[in-house]
Formats: sequence, C-alpha cells, structure tokens
Amino acid sequence: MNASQNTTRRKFLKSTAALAGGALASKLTTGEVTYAGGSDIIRVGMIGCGGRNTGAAAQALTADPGTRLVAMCDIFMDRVKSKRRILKEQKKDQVTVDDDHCFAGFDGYKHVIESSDVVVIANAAKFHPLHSMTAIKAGKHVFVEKPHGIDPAGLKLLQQAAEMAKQKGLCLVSGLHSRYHTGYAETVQRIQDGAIGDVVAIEENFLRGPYGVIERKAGLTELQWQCSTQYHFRWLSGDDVPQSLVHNLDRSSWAMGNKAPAKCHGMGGRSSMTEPIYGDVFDHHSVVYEFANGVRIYAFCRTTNGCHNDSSSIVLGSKGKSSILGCRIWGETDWRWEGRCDPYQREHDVLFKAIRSGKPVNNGDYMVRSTMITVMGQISCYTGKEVTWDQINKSDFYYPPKPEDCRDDMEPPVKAGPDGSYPVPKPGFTNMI
Amino acid sequence: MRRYSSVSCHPVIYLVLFLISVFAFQTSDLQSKDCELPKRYTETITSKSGDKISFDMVLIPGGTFEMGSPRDEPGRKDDEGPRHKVHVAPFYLCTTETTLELFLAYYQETMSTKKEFFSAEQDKKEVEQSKGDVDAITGPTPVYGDLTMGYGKKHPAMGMTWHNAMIFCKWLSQKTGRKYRLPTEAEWEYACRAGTTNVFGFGKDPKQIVGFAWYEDNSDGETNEVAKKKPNIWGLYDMFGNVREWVYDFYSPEAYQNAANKSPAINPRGPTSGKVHVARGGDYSSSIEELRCAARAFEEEWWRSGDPQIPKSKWWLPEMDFIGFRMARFVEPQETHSGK
Repeated sequence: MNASQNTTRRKFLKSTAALAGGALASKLTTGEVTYAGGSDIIRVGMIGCGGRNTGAAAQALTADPGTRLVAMCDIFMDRVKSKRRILKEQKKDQVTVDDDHCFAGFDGYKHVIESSDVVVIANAAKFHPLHSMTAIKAGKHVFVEKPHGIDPAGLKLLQQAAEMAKQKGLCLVSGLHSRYHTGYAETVQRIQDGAIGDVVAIEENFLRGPYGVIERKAGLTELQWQCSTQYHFRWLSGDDVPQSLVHNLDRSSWAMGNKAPAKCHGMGGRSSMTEPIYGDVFDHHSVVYEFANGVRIYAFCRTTNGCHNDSSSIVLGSKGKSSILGCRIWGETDWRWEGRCDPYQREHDVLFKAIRSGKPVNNGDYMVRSTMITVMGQISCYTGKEVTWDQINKSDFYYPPKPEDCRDDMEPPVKAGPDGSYPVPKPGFTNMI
Repeated sequence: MRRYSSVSCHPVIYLVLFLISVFAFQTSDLQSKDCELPKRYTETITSKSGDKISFDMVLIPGGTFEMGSPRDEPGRKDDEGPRHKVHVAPFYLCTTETTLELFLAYYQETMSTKKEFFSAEQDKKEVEQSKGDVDAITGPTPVYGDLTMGYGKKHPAMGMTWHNAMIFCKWLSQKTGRKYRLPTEAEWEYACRAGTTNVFGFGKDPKQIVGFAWYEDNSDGETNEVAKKKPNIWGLYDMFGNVREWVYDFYSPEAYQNAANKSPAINPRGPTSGKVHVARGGDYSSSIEELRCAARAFEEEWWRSGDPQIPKSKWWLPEMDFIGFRMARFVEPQETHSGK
C-alpha cells in the first residue's frame, strides 16, 4: 500500500473515478437508454472553454468510458483550439471534436447542443440559465457550473428549465460542489440532527486575492475585452456575492434545512481594485441575512491583496459549533469526518450513472434557491436597501442585454468614461428592483 | 503573546552565537572546514508591509552515511533499497519548516495577477521568463480560496507545488543575497538521521516519537505551529510529521538502485528527469512507519484533486494542507575562507 493511501485527511478527497468507471464499463451493454443512434456512446459538448469547463469535460470523460467529447464553443476560437489540444493530450481516444464542431461567438452554444447528448456549461454566468434551458428543451442532459444565474429574470428561466427537465426525465446537475462532498454532507446531516443544538447564527467567509487580470491586448474590441475578463464585469459575472459566496450561502441554506432567508441587508464597495482593468465590480461585500425564525447569516467576501484571507462556513449552535469546511463538530460530542472525497469528480460520476441507469438526477431546487439568495444579497449591496425574499422573487430585473439578444457585433452595455474607468453602482442612489 | 516574546529573544541569542562562531572561525585552524563555519545563523527579512521575519539555519556537517533502510526494518518499502553509501558535503538547513508568515511575505511580493488566457502564448512567455533574469520573478497566480487554510503565521506553509517552493527559494535568495534552495533527498535523510543509524534518529523505542512529531496519534488532524516538539540531535524541528517536505529530487522507485552503482554516491541529486518529486518526513496524519528516516513519499495524482481546472495550477495544490518544505543552502566557497 502506498504511503498516503492508508492515511486519513482532514478534508478530502478520494477519487472514486477509477472505481465508478470500471463499474460503468460493465454496464455499457445493459443500459436502458441508448445514445447516438443506438450506440452506447454518450456525446458530450462543452459550452465555454475556460479552465473550469475544461476540467469539467475531463471529469465527464473520466466518469464514463463511453463518453466522447464531440463539440466545443467559446466566445474565442483560440480558447476552443487550445483546450481541445490539452484535452486530447489527456483523453486521446475520447476527444473526437473535429474542426467543424469548434464554434466561436455568442451563438456557438446552439450548435454544441445540437451535436451532443450531454452539455457541460461553464462560461459567463449570465448565460447559464439560457444555455441550460435551450439544452433541456432540445432533450439534452446538463451539467452547469455555479453561479446558476446573475439576476432574478435568469433564475426564473432556470426554474422553468429545472421543471421541464423533471417532466422530460433529463438530468440537471449543479456545480455547487459542496453537495457532492461526502464530508460536508455528513457534517450538515449532523447539524440537522441536532449535534450542535439549535442553529443560532452562521458566519460565512470567502476572503482572498483578486480574480486574475489580463492585459488588454491590442486588436480586441471593447466587447471582446470585457468578455475576456468577464469576472470583472457585472453584466457578465454578476459580481462576487453570486460568484464566490454562492458556495458559502449554499452551505448555509443547506444547514438551515434548505430554506431561504426572509430578508437581507448588505453593503459593499471598491477599496483597492479601482483601476479600469478591474472593470465595474466591487472588491468587498458583507451581507446579513435573516430567516423567519430570527437566525442570521453573517456573510463576507473580499477580493483584495495584502489582507486577511479566510474561507470558512462556521455554524454556531445552542450546544456547540461546526466548521462545515473542516468537517468538524464541537458539541456534547466532538466529531470529525475522516476521509477523502473529490466532489468535482463525484458530480460527474453521479451524472453519468444517472444517465446510464435512466434514473435522472435533478439539482434544480437548491441551485435556484442558493443562487437567488446571492442575487438578493448582491442587489442589496448595490442599492443599499433591504431586500426581502418576496421582493427578489417578484422582480423581473435583468442586467441588459438579455442573454438571447447578445450579438458578436454589438456594443457592450457598459462603457468606460473619459478617464478609462467604468461606472459602478452607488448605494443609496442606485435602483435595481 | 508567547509568540512575540520568543521572536524578540531569538535573534539576540543567535546573533551572539553567530558572532561567537565567526570569531571562533577567525582564530581557528583552517583545516577542519566544518568547524570554521558558523554553526548556525539567523536570517531576518523585512516583508513588503514592514514586518521582520526571522528563521534559523543550522550547519549540517559533511559526512558519509547509509541511505535507505535495511531489509528487515519494520514498515520498509521496496523503494527504500538497496541501502547504499552516500557522501554529503556540509550545508545549511533551516531548523524549521518554512512558516506561513514567510511564505505569505513571498506571495505578497511576487504574486502575479495575470491569468491564463490564451494559454499557448502564456506558456511561451513563462518559459522565456524563467530563462531570463532573476530580477523579474513572476510569483504565484492568486490562489483560489484561502492560502492559509485557516492556519496561523507560525504554522508551516502548505499546499504549494514543488515549482512554487523552488520559486520561493529563488525569491529568498534574491532578497537575502544567499543562495537558498530545497535540500536534496540525500541531504534530507542525512539530516534526519543526524549521525545515528537507527530507524528514527532519536533512539530505538518508537514510542519516543511522541516527543518529536505531530502525527496521526497526537495531531488532532491538523498541522501545528513549527518547533513545538523536541528537535533532533542536530537541532532540526519537525523532521517527523507535521507537513511533508518537498526535496529537490525527482521520484523514481529505482533511484537507489542507480545510486548504489557508485559507492559512495557523492552529493547525489536524484534522477535527471521524472514526473513527480519526492516529499519527505510524513505529515500530521502519518502512521509511525511513514515517519521513519528512510521512508519515501512522492506527489500523487490525488494531490491535484482540489483543483477542478485544466490545465492544473502550476503553483497550488488547493486544500492540500499536508505538504510544505524547508530551505537548505550550499556552503559557498568564500565562506570557508572568509567566514562570511
């Protein structure tokens, strides 16, 4: 036995891939559903060719030996080609994307959906609801990364997509990986079973350095520039409460029994990320959420250099406390999960097993709720106003343009002023919902 | 509070020791070179934010030792053999694992906010940069998540790739004017054995390990602050457990077979190529067997499983809080003459 295989770890992470792959291989000929004209091959398409979706595609190909990557799209053809090369190096026999199935631009997703049985989606979060809905309408299974939208209008569409997936017997798997981490799952189960008494409050932190910035290359249009650095533009990414705190708030909501808070108030702004290269997002936010029973979540995120870093989900109870990320309980009985889990791989293991067995998995419920909780908090930070759960769910607000109206030759919705900087929301003055 | 009091007294003590040893050198016989060198010294750097951070380097005397384990050693694995003679020149080794405090100073000074975009182009640029001048160290990309993983300043730095640890040494060298590096696997084992020939370097009774190591029986599943257990005979803390330590060498199960062809192997640096590197000493979750001086370990595929992206980060092993390193340094030729 190898040195570290017999050891236990605080947090992770044992890939079940090899095991699952082997088990699935033997089922290939007995699956209830057949694909691609009667063969046992499952065609996978990639919508978005950034680092995360390339990872997701590799996980999909690892989860099931009968998968083939057949189509890819991104705003930029360079990214499609470079990621095809990288994936081919890793999964030579499973990457069969030819040049005719490499697509660039805002409409590339339509062609990928046509060519695939399953799509993996990780691109600018603005497009997640539309691309998921289009795939499900076309009868395709979906894996989609977090956050699952950036505004109430998008999340309503995703809600409809989730319902349609149920009716059609299609899978909809979320990249909120906490739910697929067996250690977190066991910790949350213990919280729900009363291991720390009643939950009194939750502290959520995601404090870290800035998202990577890139130099603005000559030759890029303003629209291409913004798309190439999408985390720094609100109309594409939705900013950091949806982007980062979605994991934290998903765990909070989960620990609270999959409930949504009744209201929230937030604040945020820009302290050090003020140069034009940082676009129009805030670099720090704090949001206080309150549930109907009075329990509060205190949630913080920051993307700043040289400051205290923290990534944690701390649940305080009447009889103890828990660190969900540490998989620990301190209470009448102290407890710690010991094991390894690779939740990113598990998402795909579960997805392809569900497809093969004909028993669809649908994460629609929590993916919509958790993302809406972040959108509500983000909007409260921008407007400076309290936002209620009812308000956000009744709102039809969206960041223009609508995702279906995006064109490769359009002008971007935000433009830099004479000094090169982009306008940002002013709490107290900005109205959104 | 305790941390501050210990920090404020250490440099004074070591400065005195350093001066004594320099003085001792200047009046001593030039023939026994090891003895002429400072037995230890304290290096202090000033971080970008003005904090003074110190660490201690201890002189490891040169010598010849038996590397690897005898066939009958309990817990032995095949890659620890054959046992073979190795000669190691004198070098300096840090008394502790590199602390988070020091690593954060490096991160703040060198972090590159440039992200991968057109990856082929980016790769080309990085290769050119790494060939180029050392003044332009391009440090790590921002870590996804929290680099400290919730640990304090005096805990070992962790979760960095071997490449990242190497660039750290380059940065530290530039900052201090002394050439810091990772120890070789042979140097590491030699220092761990500290002139002894038994399984653990401190005696025959494995139960004594409790006094020297954070490991599965006493760590509570986490790393601990460095230097809270007893040091080995040569003054090195946490050579057993706490975090695994990157060493310079590529891993190969046949490495010792090849080294044994030359007897003794002189300052071996491991295979000339390979895929993964060796990480020595076991960690906070290791069993006693994994803490043996001869026990070898190396980067495994699952160490990357906290990184869901492709290409995988060159800099980080996210969430892997069990892998760190400690710095070594050559004795420079001028030191043996000038007593620098």
